Amino acid sequence: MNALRLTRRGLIAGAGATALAAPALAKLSGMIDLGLPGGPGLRPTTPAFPGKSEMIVQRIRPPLLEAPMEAFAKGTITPNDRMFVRWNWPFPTEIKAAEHRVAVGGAVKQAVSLSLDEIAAAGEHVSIVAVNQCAGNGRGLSEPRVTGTQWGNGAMGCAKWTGVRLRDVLAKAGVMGGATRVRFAGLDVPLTEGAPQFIKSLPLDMAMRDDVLVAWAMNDEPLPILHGFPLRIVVPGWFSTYWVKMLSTIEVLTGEDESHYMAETYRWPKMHVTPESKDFPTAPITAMPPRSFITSHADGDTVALGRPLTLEGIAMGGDAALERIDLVGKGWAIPCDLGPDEHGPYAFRRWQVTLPQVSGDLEGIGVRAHVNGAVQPDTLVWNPSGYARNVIERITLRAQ
Amino acid sequence: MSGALDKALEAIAAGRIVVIEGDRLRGGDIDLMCAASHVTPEAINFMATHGRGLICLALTPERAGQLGLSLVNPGTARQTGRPFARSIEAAEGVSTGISAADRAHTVQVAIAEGATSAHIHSPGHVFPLIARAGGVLERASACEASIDLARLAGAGDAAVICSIMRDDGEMARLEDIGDLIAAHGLAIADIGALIERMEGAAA
Repeated sequence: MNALRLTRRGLIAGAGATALAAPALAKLSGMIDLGLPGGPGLRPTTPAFPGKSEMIVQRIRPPLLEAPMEAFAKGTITPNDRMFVRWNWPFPTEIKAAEHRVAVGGAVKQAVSLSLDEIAAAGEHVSIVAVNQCAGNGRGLSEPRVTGTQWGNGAMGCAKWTGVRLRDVLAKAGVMGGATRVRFAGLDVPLTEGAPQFIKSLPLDMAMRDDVLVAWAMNDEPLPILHGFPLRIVVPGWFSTYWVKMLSTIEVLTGEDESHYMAETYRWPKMHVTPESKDFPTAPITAMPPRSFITSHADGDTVALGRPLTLEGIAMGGDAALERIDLVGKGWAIPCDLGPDEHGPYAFRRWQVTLPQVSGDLEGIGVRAHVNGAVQPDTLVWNPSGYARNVIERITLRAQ
Repeated sequence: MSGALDKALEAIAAGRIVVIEGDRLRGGDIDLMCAASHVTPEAINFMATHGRGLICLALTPERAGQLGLSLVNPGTARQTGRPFARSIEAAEGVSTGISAADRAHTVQVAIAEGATSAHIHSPGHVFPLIARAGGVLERASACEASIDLARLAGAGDAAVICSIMRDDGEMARLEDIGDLIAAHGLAIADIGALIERMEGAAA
């Protein structure tokens, strides 16, 4: 028992001294062209950030780091050094694990302040592999263009998350009757007085779900500072806006959540809209739709004429399991071989297909995922914030 | 909230540049602002360097009328909703008109006591915006807010504003400019807080 507890402590506190050094502007290497249709697409891959290999630097402080698509070329787990990074506000670059507390309050029987050991002891340790994806992933590819961080498709990654169930942590305080939502805050703070704090909430039934975690490990390592050390919320199947990092406060609500990042942003239209639409009803962006990508080839690559061609890539079901993947062109579709279900419905899976012979250029080919009998759309479901992109991503290959 | 507004007003009164946020008509774009009465070539250069949007001169309708300026597009058809007048240049004292010194001079000439249409030429390199008479309470945008901020700061009734663009060409949000705020000690004026203050004063 004692040994187990020490192990837990070791696991959680191990990275307590991790510091995010000021990025050094020494390495002057490449730029990556995201090929954005509506504006400048060149982005630097410097400065280097601690614990990260080459990433696309969308913003330095607070960091917005995108994984180059090559990060998804192999396997189904995104290594920690290639997981995208997105912070709304500046955050502490050093956290003393032993002193960190999570306050659980609001509509609870008894408000508590929990140490990391107490969190770790709150319930069974659970690991789940799940895709972590920014609600705005692929926003920069929107046509017509929309405002916001112009991400290519690399604001996503799939990792193994380990922690305890949120409901077990809530049980330490005891949720009162009449509770409606559970809200989270982290240690990130707005730049200026009056600016809204980044707080997000889940409906109570989501918060109580079997697989919603207060996690301390990512791919069996303590959460890196950039990913929310020491604790973050993990909501498999939902966009990462809910996966609050550097968790410090859990608040049980009894009404609606009127806070800025729930009531005013991270929302999308309840109806079909165009750039001219005004005053339409909106709903919070929540569950992820399916997505799929060709990772073996990039747009404009050349392939051997007259030879067989094997294409492969990754796919995700979003908040439900993948059923099938098709390779699609203009007016045709071929079923692909879906790789083994290694990690469950919320993880990436690989797919592959071999064309017996390349007889000419492959114009605008893409893959589409089937989930719950539905497929990814052929045209973009345009919305003014570029959320939840899941149009079929197409590329053209030249035969030579 | 009002503490932050007071700091911004102090900064404006002292001739410093502040950030305006909370524009309700421009999708969250934010601006740099200084009172036109305090404009300097350095202020214009700062805006051109760190703001990188269009450098505009926000004017009251009275002052615009005095200068013979009217809206470029007064109608409702094909209307962007931006209250631009024709662009201007000081009639005298500028070279090509675009340098920081030239633009600062144009602003000074345009807002000088007794300035008339005779003192400005068009087109030019300063872009006047004609605010609504009711100010920020009538139109919750940076143009009107900048004029009300200048007034509350006792720094006249005209302002120079410039929207802030990121390195990648995307329009900045407050969360993008932490380094700029820290490096230059910029105060932030929130339009919501300004409206609250002015509604309080009107009540």
